[in-house]
Amino acid sequence: MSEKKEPVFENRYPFEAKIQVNEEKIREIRENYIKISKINLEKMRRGKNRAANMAYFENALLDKTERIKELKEFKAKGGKVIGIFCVHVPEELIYAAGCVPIRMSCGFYDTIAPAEEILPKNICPLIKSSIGFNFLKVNPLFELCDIIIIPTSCDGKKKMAEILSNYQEVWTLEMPNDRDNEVSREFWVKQVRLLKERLENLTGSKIEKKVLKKYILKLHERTALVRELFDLRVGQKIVVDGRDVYFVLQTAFFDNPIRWMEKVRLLINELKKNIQNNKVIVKESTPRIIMTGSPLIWPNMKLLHIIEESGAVVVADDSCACGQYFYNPAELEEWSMKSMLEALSDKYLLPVVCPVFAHCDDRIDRLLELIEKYKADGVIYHILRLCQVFDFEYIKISKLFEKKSIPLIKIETEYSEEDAGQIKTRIEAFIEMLEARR
Amino acid sequence: MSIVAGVDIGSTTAKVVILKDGNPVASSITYTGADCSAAAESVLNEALQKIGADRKDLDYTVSTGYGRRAINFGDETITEISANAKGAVFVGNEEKGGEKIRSIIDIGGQDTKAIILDDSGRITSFAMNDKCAAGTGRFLDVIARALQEPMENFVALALSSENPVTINSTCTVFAESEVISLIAKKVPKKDIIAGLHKSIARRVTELAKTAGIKPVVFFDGGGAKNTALKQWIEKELGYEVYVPKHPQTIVALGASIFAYEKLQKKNQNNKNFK
Repeated sequence: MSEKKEPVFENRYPFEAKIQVNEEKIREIRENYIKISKINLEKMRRGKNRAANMAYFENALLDKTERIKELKEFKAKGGKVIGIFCVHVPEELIYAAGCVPIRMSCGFYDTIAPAEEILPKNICPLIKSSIGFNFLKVNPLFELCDIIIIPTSCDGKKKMAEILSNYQEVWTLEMPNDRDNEVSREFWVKQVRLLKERLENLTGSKIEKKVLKKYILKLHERTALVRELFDLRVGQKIVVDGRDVYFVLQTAFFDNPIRWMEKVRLLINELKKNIQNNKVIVKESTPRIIMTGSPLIWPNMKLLHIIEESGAVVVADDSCACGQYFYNPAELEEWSMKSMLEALSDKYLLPVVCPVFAHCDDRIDRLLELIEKYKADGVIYHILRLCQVFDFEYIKISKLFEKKSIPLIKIETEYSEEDAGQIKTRIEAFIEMLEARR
Repeated sequence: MSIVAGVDIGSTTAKVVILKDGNPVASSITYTGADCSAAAESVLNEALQKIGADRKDLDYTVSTGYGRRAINFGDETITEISANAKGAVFVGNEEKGGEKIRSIIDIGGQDTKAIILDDSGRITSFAMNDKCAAGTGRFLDVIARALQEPMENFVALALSSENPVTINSTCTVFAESEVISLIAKKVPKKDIIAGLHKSIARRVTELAKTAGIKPVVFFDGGGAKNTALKQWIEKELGYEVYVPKHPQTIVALGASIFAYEKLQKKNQNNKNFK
């Protein structure tokens, strides 16, 4: 096992800035998170024929007691909980090392203002909320994290890693900017190998070949399951809406993966029955929408509520917080440690449509594929204000879509509710436009 | 005989157009004020009075505009974007001898919009200003106060300037302080006012270009009554835009046409049902 430890953040100069909030304010923010989550869920329950198996996921989000208990017991026995960001961290390695990953959520408006005390003004709400979430411990599960792994995807994530490293142990996962050349790929494989070594140093034991294989196969099952869930919306009979799919996928951020898979299986079985029995949630003429752009992370469901309350339905997305999460399997022919690490590296790099990479052609391919497969009527392009990489790519995509006559609308917004009225007008007009085209 | 109404509740004014058997017969405009529901009621009653009708004579009512849901009557709502397209296509046929309208620029009190149409008058794309008021009617109102110059004089002053200043700020609040510092520097009012018109025109055409503007361009909304604005927009675009006879009621007209179409469909369905 390699002994070299390479801390990215030495912090020879301490980061003195602090978020000044009192316990009462933190309690208020935590309560508000539950309150807003409940409001979201109430809106999602309004439609008819919603699957009864959604109840498990609702409870898992609102009451994390059981999950906390599980993880505390796990930690008492020496287990490590690892917080992760983005979709580039190989979860298979973490499980194989005997650790548990939790994906950090960062979609809560109330965490922004406190975080602004220690952050520059002109950065996106997702980064602000990530910092706020971690400092304010809005999610009690985050307190259990021993390490946080942050891929150096966008600039915000890099600098966030530096700030957080003053308060807890942070590992970065260095990402290449261009994934289409051999040097980048080698660099990335090295990073994944380094992560493996760091995990082994953390736990004091080597990751065994057969254990890694076991988890790769286990997560294959999860990928297959998620694909099955997405494919339920390919047909004309819609039995689950975009909000529910986003929500279910995001409960996997923190839930026990084995239990989560069992519950998703039950949900899929129920939804399949609903298709057979014609228990649809919207009529067949409902305009079908593909979501793309910056991730919509719970409880920031504003845009999805507006779309689906205005008479359209989201049938697919290419989001890292939904349709891209778990979507790709690691492709393997032989099971040596070398090929497993290479396959994992490829899985978390090549098919990922994140806009941080130098070009967006792969993302466009994926979008066009989704539009055709899910018979979409239009695409809604969400940009979190100051999310520059998605904003950059919009222009190329909009010109291409104009040529291909694919209806597209850009919605630039933040986590606050104040622009909901204006967004509603735009979305309604877009839906009226889609209906008039038929 | 059928009577239908289109009600457009904007941020500054409320507008109504009445159609009798599909033809516009009356319209009315009032200030929206603080109570959009009351404004909608009174402007609708006023328009109906003009043709000697009242509320019970209405067969179908469609509301639109930012206050479309705040009013407690009407059969249906439609967005001001779709309504504007319908109204513009109708008026384009009447006033422009059937020449195809391909784009619409709409400057209202709170919103600026660009709408792009295909050959058959269907919307292919549209763009709206962000939540700030720069480039809208409200922007000029704010500046008029800072300049202590009534709005009525704005157009004449703007057209009389030979050296419009450049206003850099894109935010209403910052533009206001920029204007105040220009006043302090004793820059003539007419040059400041002309500069403001130019700045709005530039922002609006930028927005329209991102949406894919192409001639023939139809310019409506309250802002279209401002001839200085029209002139600067034409300069920015490099070609003429067409302002209809009643630019403020195009959206209400579109809503009334939508109401008429809906009523016909409903009657057709009822007939089929019998």
